Amino acid sequence: MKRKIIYPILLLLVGSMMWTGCKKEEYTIDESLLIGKWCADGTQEYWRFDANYEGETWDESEDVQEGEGTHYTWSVSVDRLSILLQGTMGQVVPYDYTFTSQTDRTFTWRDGYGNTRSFSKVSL
Amino acid sequence: MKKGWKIALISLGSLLGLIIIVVVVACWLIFTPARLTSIVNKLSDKYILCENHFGNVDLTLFKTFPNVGLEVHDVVLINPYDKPDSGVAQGMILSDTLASVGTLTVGIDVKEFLSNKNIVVRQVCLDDAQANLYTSPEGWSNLDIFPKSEKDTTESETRLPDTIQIEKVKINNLSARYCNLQQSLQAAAENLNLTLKGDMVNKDIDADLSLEVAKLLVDMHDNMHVAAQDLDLSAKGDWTDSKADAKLSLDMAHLLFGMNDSLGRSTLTADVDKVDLALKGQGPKNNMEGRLDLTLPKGNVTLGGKAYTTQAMNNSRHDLLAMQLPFHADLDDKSLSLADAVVSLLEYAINLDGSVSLPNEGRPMHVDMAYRTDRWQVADLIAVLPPFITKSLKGMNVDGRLSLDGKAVGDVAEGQLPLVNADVLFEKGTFSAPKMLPMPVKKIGAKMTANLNLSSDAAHKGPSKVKIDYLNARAENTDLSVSGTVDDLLGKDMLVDAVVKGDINLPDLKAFLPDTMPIALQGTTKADIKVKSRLSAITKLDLAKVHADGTLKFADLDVTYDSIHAQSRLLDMAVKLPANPSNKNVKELIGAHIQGGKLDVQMVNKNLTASVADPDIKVGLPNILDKNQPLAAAFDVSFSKVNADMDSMTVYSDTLKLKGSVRNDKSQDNPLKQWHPDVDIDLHRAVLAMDNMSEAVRMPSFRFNYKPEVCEIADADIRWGVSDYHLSGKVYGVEDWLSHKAMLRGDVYFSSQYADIDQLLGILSGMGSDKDTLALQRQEDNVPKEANPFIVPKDVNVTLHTNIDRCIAFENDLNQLGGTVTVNDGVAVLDQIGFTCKAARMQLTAIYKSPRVNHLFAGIDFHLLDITVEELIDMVPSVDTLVPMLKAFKGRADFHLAAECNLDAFYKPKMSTLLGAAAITGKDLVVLDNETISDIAKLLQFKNWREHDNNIGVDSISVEATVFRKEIVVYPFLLNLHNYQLCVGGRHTLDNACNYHLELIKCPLPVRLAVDVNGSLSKPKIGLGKVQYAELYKPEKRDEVQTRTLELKKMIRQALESNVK
Repeated sequence: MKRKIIYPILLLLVGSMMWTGCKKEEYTIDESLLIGKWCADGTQEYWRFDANYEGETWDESEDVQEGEGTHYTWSVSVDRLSILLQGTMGQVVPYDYTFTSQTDRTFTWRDGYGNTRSFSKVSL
Repeated sequence: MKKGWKIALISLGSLLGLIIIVVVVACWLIFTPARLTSIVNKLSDKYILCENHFGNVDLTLFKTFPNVGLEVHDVVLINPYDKPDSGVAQGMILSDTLASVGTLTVGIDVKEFLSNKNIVVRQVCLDDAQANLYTSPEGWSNLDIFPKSEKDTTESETRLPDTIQIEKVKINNLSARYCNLQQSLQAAAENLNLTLKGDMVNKDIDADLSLEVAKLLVDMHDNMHVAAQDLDLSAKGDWTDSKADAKLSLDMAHLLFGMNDSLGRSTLTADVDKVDLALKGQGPKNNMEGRLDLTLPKGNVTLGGKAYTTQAMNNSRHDLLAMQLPFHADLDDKSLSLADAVVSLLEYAINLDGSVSLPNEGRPMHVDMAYRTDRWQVADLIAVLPPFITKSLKGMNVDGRLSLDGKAVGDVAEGQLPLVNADVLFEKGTFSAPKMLPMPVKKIGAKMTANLNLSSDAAHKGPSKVKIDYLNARAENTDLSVSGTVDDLLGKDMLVDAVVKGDINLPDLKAFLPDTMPIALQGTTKADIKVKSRLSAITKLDLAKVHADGTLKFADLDVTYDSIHAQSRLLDMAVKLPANPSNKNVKELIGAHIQGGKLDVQMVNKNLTASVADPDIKVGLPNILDKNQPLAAAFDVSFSKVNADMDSMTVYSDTLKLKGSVRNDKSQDNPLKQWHPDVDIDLHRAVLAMDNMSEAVRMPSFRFNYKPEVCEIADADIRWGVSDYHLSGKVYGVEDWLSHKAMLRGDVYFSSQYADIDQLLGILSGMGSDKDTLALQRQEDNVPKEANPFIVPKDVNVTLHTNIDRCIAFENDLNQLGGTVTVNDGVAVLDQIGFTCKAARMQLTAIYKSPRVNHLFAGIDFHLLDITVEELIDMVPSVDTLVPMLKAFKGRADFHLAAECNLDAFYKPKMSTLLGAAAITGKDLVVLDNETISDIAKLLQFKNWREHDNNIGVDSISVEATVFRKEIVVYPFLLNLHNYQLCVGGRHTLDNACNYHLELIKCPLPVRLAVDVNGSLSKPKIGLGKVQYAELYKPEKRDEVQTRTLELKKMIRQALESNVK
């Protein structure tokens, strides 16, 4: 009977130690590396980040070319990339992504539900 | 007889004979030629100052019986003088011999001599005489050979004696020359024979003259020359103060007559043969009956250097000129009247009846003369007339029968001439001039009356005119007739006032049109046109100065011009010049009014056929012949029962009215600018049908006006299927738009009781787009031909103000639809369309763009106010996709949605471009019972949360959601459920995955429970979750992420609600 009680307690202790051990490590986004045109891996979906904190995204698989896509403004705060998509009809659609890695050729973000996507730079 | 008487008479006779013999012998013994010659020579020296010589002088009794005569032979008078250097006519030989006479016989009245010692010469005869008479320029004459008497020293007027008696003057074979240089008169005669006898007592003259001259020359003042050959003059008659009885005949074998002007130029020459003149008069001098006959068989006459005679005239069998002038003369009154007088030029005779009065006692010359001709054959007359008269007829063939009948009445004075009246009759005429008229004219007939005033001074000057009773002609199958007047006939510019009537065979007109004109004409027309104009305006085609008014009645009209074919069985056209002004935009000069029963028109190259009934066409044109004026037209057109087919389109209209003007400007680059139309168009009860339209468009009324740069739709009532449309408004800049210089602008009001918007968009799709550009785009985008998306014109800016009571749009019934639709440079905007449907009051702003055929854009800003949730989902099914849990609610809500998406050519959304935001606000809702709700409620330990009717009441709800590409995010929102407060948020994707979180914020129990809904939306996995929203609605406790979440919610809602009007 005692063993039955001890196991859950141990499990909670180990669990709490693991929780502490897995504490999120903050990642700081390098804005200068973000500037440019990026393509989501395995797709024809492009994101372009301009130095004036504006950008455009389009998907050429649906015959949408650069200049015909959705425009947005962007900003970074530590590891969070905030994108505010701006519609022609006045609507705004905000998105926040958390960067998990970034180089001058690639980066990976994660959305609020834990889904990650990786991007590769296609042009400077 | 008794023997005694016989013996006595014989004895007396023998005694007389003896006495006579004794006297003759005595005379012969006493008056011997030697003695007489001596006496004459002695007397001649006394009475003749010049050198003279008298040959043999003899006494004659028998030659001059009953007078005693002296016969002188070889009489010579010589009077030398200085010969002039100049001024003597050619052929004039000057000689010192004044006279030379072979034989001079003078008969002297012996009785008068014996009783009164007077020498009375009864007879003078000259044989073989020559004379040379000369007067110097200073007035000296070689004839002054007699000594002057004492009486001559006193100047006295030379006058004829009261009594002259000439028993006989006879000259045989006289050759004389007369040269008077003082008076510039010279004459010569050869072989002149003259016999004259007669007497004059107190101005009563009884004379008998016979003159023959072989050759006569006269030269007067160097400007008149006469040369006659074989002149034979005979004159005989009695002439008293009260009556006369005289005859004159003059024959000449040849006469040459010439006159020059002061510069020596010939003004008149006549060279005629066989002149035959006879003149006689008899009766009281105030009523003398006489006759003049003149015949000039051949000859040549020139006036001012122009030949008035021709070889044809001299070849004629008729006399060149002949006159038969019977007359009555009043010599006291100096008047002459003619009756049945005839003057003939060849066979062309003029009959004269009337009188001529010479100036007398202050009265001017007066003429009252009627004239009449036979029927002259014009072609023959033209053939003999001199070329300078007929040169204007060169290239023409004219014939016919011409006759004149008229009168000349009036005074003849300085600047005044008689009034001349002439009735002209022309019959059976023909005319052809291939260079002027393409066809010969025949059956020419004319009757006209001319009234001529030939006076030139202002006091007597007056109008001259011609009255045309008729002038008929026929060319091919066309008959024309003219009647009227021509005023100012002799003025600088005649005034024509005429009526032209004709039966015109239209094919005949083809010959008058240029060969290059592609026109074919059939039918006839009856013309009746009144024309009033100066002749110069007609000849110069100066239409501005021509007045015309008339009608043309066409029958069986069939005209083909190029590819246009028009037919009408009966068509009337009225023309008026100048036109009555009807339009301020056109300087109307030519007016035409066309009316008829039915008119059919085909345009072959346009596949157009049209027919109209009761055409009523009024057209006003400017001077179309004035090249300085642009081509323009004012028109007022009305048709009924218009029926037109063109390709796949059919148009019918009960009435069609067009009123307005066009004005051509060739410098412009598009048809509207080239023609500047200003037109009102009015259609009534019209129907438009096209092959690709399932139903015809009916237009009970359609009125619009087009002015340069502005097209105004005054009233357009259109019915299409069950829809009705009423349009009004203005469209601007059509002309610049066609020139690609500016956008087409418009402001149009659109109202309807019921409108099928889907049907309307279907027909409007692709209208106004450049077909070539579209085709290229389709090729570049690999767009299948089955795809035909609506392409918005790129250079159009039109605003449509809508007011629709009820419509169906995208299979939705909408009511009270109002707002504006704007098409602006490739963008179609439905701006704040407010309407109500059965569910709610709605407001819609939509944008549609077509940058590429395969890349269309559609965006909406959509607001539904006070709508039931179920109707919202029914009306906007995508709401269920955006907020899946909404279908669990019942009640009324406000819904705001702004979304956009690009579409391919089949209108299939490109999901990668989908971007939208929505906000829903509801109050007093009810949560419908279902399995998912029950499971969630069970997990959240809900107890006693249902209403008495088993529903779940919701006090309020405020949801914000966004969609980007395939992901829909529902921002956390609060649900007040009776005693519970729930916060819900999460996301799902269009491929049915979801991640939702429901958290109990407030409940009767002191616990915080949360539920996660994951997996497939249709079959979610529901389980307890981690508490996330506990501090979300506690400002003092919420963290950075929660604060930003609420800011985003607020940003989304404000952006959406700011568009609600």
